[in-house]
Amino acid sequence: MKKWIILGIILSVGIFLDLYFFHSFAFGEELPKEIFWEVRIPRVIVSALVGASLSLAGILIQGLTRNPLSSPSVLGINSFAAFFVCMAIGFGSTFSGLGLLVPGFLGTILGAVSLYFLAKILQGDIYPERLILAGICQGFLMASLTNLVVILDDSNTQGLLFWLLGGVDGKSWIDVKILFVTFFPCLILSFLKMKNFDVLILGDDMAKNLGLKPSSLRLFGFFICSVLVAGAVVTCGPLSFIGLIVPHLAKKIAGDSLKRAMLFSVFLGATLLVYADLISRVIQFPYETPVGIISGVAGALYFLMLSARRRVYA
Amino acid sequence: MKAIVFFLFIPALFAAKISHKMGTLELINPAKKVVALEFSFVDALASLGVTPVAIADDGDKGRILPDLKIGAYTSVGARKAPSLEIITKLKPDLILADSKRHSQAYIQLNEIAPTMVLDGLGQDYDSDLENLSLIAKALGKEKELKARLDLHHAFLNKEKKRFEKIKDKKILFMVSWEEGVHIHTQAAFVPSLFKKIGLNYVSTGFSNASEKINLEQLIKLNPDILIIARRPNKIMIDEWIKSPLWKILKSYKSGEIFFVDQTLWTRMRGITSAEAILRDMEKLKI
Amino acid sequence: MLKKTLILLTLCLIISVMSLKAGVLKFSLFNMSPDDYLVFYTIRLPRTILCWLLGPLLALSGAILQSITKNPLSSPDILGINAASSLAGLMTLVYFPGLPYSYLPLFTFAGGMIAFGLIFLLGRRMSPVSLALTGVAIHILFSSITSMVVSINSLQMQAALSWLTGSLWGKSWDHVTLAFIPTLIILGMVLLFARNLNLHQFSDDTMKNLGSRPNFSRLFFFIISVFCGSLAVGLMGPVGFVSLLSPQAARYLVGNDLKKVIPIASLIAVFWLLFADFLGRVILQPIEVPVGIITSIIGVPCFFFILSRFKRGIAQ
Repeated sequence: MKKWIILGIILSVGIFLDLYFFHSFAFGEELPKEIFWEVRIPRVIVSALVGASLSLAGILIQGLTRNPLSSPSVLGINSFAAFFVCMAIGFGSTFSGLGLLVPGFLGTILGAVSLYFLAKILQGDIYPERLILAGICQGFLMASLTNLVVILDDSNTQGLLFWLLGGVDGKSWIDVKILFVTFFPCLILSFLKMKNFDVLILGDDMAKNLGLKPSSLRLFGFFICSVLVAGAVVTCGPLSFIGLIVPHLAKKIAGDSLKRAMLFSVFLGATLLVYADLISRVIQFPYETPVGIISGVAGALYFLMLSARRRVYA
Repeated sequence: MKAIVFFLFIPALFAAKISHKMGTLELINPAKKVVALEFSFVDALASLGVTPVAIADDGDKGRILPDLKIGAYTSVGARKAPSLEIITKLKPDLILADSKRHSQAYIQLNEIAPTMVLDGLGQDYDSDLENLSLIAKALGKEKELKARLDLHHAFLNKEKKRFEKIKDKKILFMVSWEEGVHIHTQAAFVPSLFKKIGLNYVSTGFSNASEKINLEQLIKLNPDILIIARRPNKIMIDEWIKSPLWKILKSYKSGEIFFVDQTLWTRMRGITSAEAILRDMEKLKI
Repeated sequence: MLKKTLILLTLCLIISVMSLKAGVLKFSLFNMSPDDYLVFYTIRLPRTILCWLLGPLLALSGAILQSITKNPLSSPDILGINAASSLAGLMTLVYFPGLPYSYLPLFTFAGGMIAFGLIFLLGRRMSPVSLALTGVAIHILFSSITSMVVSINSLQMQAALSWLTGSLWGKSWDHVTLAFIPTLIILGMVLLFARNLNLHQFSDDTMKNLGSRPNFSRLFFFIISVFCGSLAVGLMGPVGFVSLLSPQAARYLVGNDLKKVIPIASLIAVFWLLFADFLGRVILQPIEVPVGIITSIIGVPCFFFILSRFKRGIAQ
């Protein structure tokens, strides 16, 4: 119980700081109220929901692949979505809003499908890490193809490069609406199917014995992840590591029960991204550092620490 | 004997030694066939009345400002990787390369023809003038340069007088792309040009020539006059205009927001385009 | 083996000739006017020869890493070494713009060694699995830092992008002379020690029983691999997939003996680079598509093909 209260406090403080500090209008300065409602509040909500989406997707993927090192970015799903979005922009779509939702979703679905087949091929392998490496190769592939699109579409190159760095800058209520539509239904669905997922994690055979169909359950799980990641990537660009670190931390703090870990992940993810957004404005004030860079550097360092202590092979 | 020695010295009278970003350019004769690998060099050449034999125009002749009035040229392709073969075939006397894009290929460019590497991209007005004088030196056109600069300064002085009535107003210049809006700071070409003619430019607090901003930052800067360079397609600024925040801008309320052509205002960066920009402002009644 | 080598060699020679012939200017190779010869000698020949030198470097770095990590999916791009090298190269270009380009490989090697140092420090006993995983995190770390450097000055983005996508544009004889001796020496050295490298397919204990020192040997070869990879990055910019897939393809053709794999992988890599260079200069004339992009495009279907036969090769 105590942990939840502490997290709640940290989250609220984070939201408060993110709303009021390190913006162009300093704290205490007279601020046109439109800015507050049209710029700052959407930004904070988007940060929180994107963090929550990616964390939820992360913990689901880790369970579904039975691999503690999986996450949407590591497994290349992020990169698939990014590629399709870049293609869409190359074909004339604008940079924001609903137009990107379809290609983004298509990307995540294909990424998940590709991963599903990779997982199938490698199932029962003595080296579970091979799945990770396969996912990484998949990510590399997509990154190369994305690079190609970026270079060939001369007029949009700079814009695409900025977008690929991932950021919560310039988010509006449209992005909030997108995330509402992607995140909350998935959250509810995950909770409804929670017991089934729990069983699936224990093993396919166990699941079959209890009358469940593991492959369709897994498909369903991947589908939920796709929607979550699509919402996040379409609004903020590809952000790495959040889906990896947050579930780890959540399990460490809140215990292994899937239900508690999932709920804790969601809130922890929201908190982390809100703080990341704050940091993105602080590091090079008055410049904004794209949030993707922060999650990339922080995430990579944490991951390195994990692999150094070899906790990951548990 | 003395006559022969005397004639041997005449070609050496030109012998230019110009130091540039990657070394020193040594020319025995003034350059006649020039290849320009960045747009600001094209403006410099045009201002001296020279048509370059080739330009890296990204494969799009529309990117060269018609105001420059240059004649026919050969395209060598993209600015970031111009076709070295076409350049070699043309046998130029001088290659003008951009330090940010082409430093890596300096050795090879120098093997093709004497090459001068200058800061072409993202420079301010003074830096462009410097490049202009270096280019004029390489072409042996210092007299033409002086004459042209006299005309230019006269024009600037005329414009200065015309803009006196708005010299207390803060101006901001920005460029909108699809993915965002970038303001130009006083380290960039247009703002430094504005300063030359006595206009007051917003102090942005950024040191880079161009920087991406969000809508809140724009409202904080709140200029009296807002000039936005754009292309005809749908860009980020179109989204900003729809936001209720747009209406609290000072420049919106006073009706002093102007849209201008991106090619003219941001691509060319030289004295001829500077004059064209100022004439454009006159047309828009800024 | 000999037959396969000869076939590959012939293919490489054919594509070299095609590449030399390809370009914006059309002329016959046998009847060159002095002007055409200038283009041929200053522009096309150095690039082509550079491919012949860079191919072995890329193949070597991939083959070595795959052996010592006992993992067919290792390569300098995946293990973050390329990312660190390219960051080092990028920072050199941005912060020391006047530096002669022959110094660049020094910096990329330093960058690669930093990545290696991190892997070594964090990999503890350097078991194969921890090597691979640590490498992945390092890749993401360095590419994020690269993004940060690039985002600081948006104007530099254009210049940065051309560096970050391996390209043979503007490469001259200087680059060739820089690559020539190191490549030959390393190639010779690795072939000499190939037997030792072959032993890495066994476990550490088996290796000790066979008289080799596993940790020292791993360290030694890792450094060589970093050297090859970062030299290639310093000369051409980071190019993906070639180091990963050419050793794989070679193993598919001639089995696991590194004395055979290395020459075949080198030839495959050479062919790949030459072909990518040829295509890049031909498909969108006069615009040149960078080599790195084309190698990636070719890499995509090849990767899926490899992965499909991965099912059979899982025991590897």
